[in-house]
Amino acid sequence: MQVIVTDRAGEIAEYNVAGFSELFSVLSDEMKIDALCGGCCSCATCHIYTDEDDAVKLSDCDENERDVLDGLLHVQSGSRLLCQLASKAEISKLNITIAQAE
Amino acid sequence: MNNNALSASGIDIDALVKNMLSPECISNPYPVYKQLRAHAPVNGLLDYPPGTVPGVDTPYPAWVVTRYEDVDYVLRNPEIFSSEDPMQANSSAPSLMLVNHDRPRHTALRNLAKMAFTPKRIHDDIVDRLRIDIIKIIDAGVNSEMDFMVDVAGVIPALVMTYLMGLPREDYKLLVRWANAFMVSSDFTPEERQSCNVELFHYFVAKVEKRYSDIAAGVKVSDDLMTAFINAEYEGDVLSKEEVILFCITLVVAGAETTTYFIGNLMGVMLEDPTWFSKLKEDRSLIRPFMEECLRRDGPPQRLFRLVLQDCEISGQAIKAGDWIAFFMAAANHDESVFPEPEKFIIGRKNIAKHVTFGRGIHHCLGAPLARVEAEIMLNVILDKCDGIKGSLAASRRQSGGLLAYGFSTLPVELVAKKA
Repeated sequence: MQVIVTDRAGEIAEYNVAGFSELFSVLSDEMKIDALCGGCCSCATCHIYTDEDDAVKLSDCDENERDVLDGLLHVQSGSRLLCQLASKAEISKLNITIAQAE
Repeated sequence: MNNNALSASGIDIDALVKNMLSPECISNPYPVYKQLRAHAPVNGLLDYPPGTVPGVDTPYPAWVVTRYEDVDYVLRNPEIFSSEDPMQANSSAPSLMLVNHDRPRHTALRNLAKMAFTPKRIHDDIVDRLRIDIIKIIDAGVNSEMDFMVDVAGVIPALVMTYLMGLPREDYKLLVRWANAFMVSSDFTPEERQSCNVELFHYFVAKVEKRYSDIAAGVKVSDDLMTAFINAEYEGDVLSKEEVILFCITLVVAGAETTTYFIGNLMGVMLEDPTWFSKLKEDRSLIRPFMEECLRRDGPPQRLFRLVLQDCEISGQAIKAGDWIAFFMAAANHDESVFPEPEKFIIGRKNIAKHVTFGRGIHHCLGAPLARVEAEIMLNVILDKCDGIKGSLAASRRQSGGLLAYGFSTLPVELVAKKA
């Protein structure tokens, strides 16, 4: 899966990853996200924006994720937590933007 | 418990655990962790959770968990490993909010805390004021020897607490003393420690009571974190007055001393390798990876405790429900299988985000962004105002009062002012 990531500095980089957990791991190692809680849907430091057109390809936002997103200042349509993301349909290319730090 | 003790490597593991509270081990516990990581968890550590008083409270024997994989397992499984702390609950210490709660109350409290502890509040209430105060502290201290722990590192986090909670600036000295007594990592007599716990509690009882009565009387109150805790509401749930008091206390004890040691350890690295000063001065983008590697290698918080709720296994060792475990984030951060050459300070490690200094899982440190902001402002001000640092680690001393934190008790340095 090819993911085009716009980071907090506005820089754009391309990642070729097997899935979202690999992307989560790579972005945290690059310190583009803090990933404080290690991916347990708690800290919201992996908050990203996805394109609305891509929503059909992505896993649904469950109650836990919704609860965490509801507490954020910079939430908008397409807001997701990267740690909770999975694909529902085959994704060849996806654009995401890392939300500003809360 | 007897762990039948001579290990394959010939190390008397019981003696090693017993010796963990010695001043030598506390001031440099990493060689001991290395030996312990060669073993499955070992039972028998008699150590003191925050708030408890050595000489008064009686420790329960704890399993010692040191491998990265095992520490990670404990952190990620709060349903097996409870944060309830019976030893602290039976002591004179005020119990801590969030830190000592399990789900589902933990989730409700965390949501309420998030309503109050917003990033915007952290930014608006802190960044500019702190930069101005640090500039004053550095300007006053340059070109003569200072004890960095007393004059800079000890002051910054406590000042931040006064900004956050709308307390008189001069009270920061009280907060430093109470936090140090609570965290069991400095030299206090049992009586001093107990009276500090009582003073800390009564101080916030009075401050919070006053704030409630001002609000009730329609007096305009400052828009700070204390007021935000009082007004926080999440899905119809609010904090009780006692919970507001305990939240304020939790912030002070969790945020003041650990951040002081972190800031001190950053300066320690710059003394250990003086080339860091010019490297950071020239390229400020190195500050964040520099801080992260310091958090990994020299992270102040060493260990936390959990109460085991279900029979389980850690590294093949059977652990029973009701057992007490001490898990060492600092030992996990030095696990060679995750961080090669763990004693070396190497910035840009590919997996640096995996350090567990701020914990992981639902109990990750709520104050981590605050600690990073404080340290970053401090480093930037020093790099802006100074041309270098004089000093030697040989003149420093690490605290040896308690195993909770790794950090300097004294760190003499001279900050050399920038030539006009």
